[in-house]
Amino acid sequence: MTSTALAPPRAPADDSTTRDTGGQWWPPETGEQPEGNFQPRATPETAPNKPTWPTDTPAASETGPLLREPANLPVVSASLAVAHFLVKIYGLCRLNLESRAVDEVYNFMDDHLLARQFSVCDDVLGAADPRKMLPSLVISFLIVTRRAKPRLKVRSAFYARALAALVETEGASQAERLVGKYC
Amino acid sequence: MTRALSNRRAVIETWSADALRVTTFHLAEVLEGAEGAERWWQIVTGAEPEVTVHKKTAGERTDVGPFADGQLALRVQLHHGRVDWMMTDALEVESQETPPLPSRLSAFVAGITPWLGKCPPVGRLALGMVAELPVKGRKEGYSTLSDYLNFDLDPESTDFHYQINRKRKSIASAGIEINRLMRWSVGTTARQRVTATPQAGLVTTPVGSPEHNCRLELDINTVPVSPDLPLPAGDLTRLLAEMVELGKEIVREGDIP
Repeated sequence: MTSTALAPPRAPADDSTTRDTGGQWWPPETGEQPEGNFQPRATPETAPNKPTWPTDTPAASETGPLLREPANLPVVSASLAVAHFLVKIYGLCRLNLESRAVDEVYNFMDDHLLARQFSVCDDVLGAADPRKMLPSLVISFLIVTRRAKPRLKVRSAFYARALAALVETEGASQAERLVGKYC
Repeated sequence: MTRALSNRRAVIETWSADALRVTTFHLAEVLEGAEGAERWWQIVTGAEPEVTVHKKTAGERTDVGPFADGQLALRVQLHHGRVDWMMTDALEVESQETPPLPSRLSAFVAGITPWLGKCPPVGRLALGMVAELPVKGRKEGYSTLSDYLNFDLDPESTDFHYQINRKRKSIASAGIEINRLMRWSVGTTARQRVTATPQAGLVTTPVGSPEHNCRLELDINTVPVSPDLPLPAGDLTRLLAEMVELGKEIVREGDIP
């Protein structure tokens, strides 16, 4: 790990994009937390042509019912989006594209925190492997989730894994210096 | 020109494979009781997944990692009795060309086939594809699509979207019918750069020219017979191979009965 990789993570892109509004990172509680549904809504010609999976044969069409109705779910799921997000930032880390990786972390996590999708953020923290990330990415995850700590069930476990990983590569005192204040 | 034998449709190698999917449906009780689901990824790829998202209470496991020239994902939904294998381009870390449909489809199916011999009894099998053919613009796209359909598209119209299912009897497995659900459209991809400035806020500027594609989404799947009656295990590999050929036929010949 190079010393430049240890630089503290920067705020995303520009100050004007920072969403820290002084303690209120997501709208006031309004009830049930919306579950992530990442089914793309592209329409021909009028929307970006992002890859979409063919959805199931419609259960109500003449192609016949599925074995079980609940099986007719969007294939593109929150879990898949989380997995693809992590694969992407691991790839950026391998290529040493640190700034882009940090931006990705802030964008993805901040969007879901603002949307009150805490379970998605928990899925990220639960699946993220700090050993596959640059230290600045680990710190970015801890910073961006710090204020939502009470809502995130697995953040403390992620912190423990992050600290252990940094102790292995940086030594105990440096690891503590890097992430201790973001516990 | 409306689809005819004499049409000069694009060779199949000109189509790219945007996304591929093999889905199996199982009785939930069977899938929940299946042993070794955590090893399915290894059976197909011979390696560990790069990322695993495991939601135990939801009965859901997602594995993602590199495979062949792309990105493979395995999604197991135990409570819904559903398994999806999905292949796309490697994520957009580095720009790359999407490979031709035939080569990616071959690599994908060759990887999944050994798993079909080891998975729990399958009630229903599906092959999904999203294939794209580059064109210069919407009008050329509509003209091209007319060579694949049984009617001509008005080049001045917009937002065309056509979906039809044409069943066939399976050759590989007696008594099984196969849905051939196809959706045809022309899509546009526009790249934009978003710049944030304190003065103007978010400013969006187009990057390059929009790209146009004829787009074909296929969902080829077995018609369900009975929830309790699995497909013959020995026929699964042949059924998948048949679905691949049915898919290629649609890409080559268009909407034919």
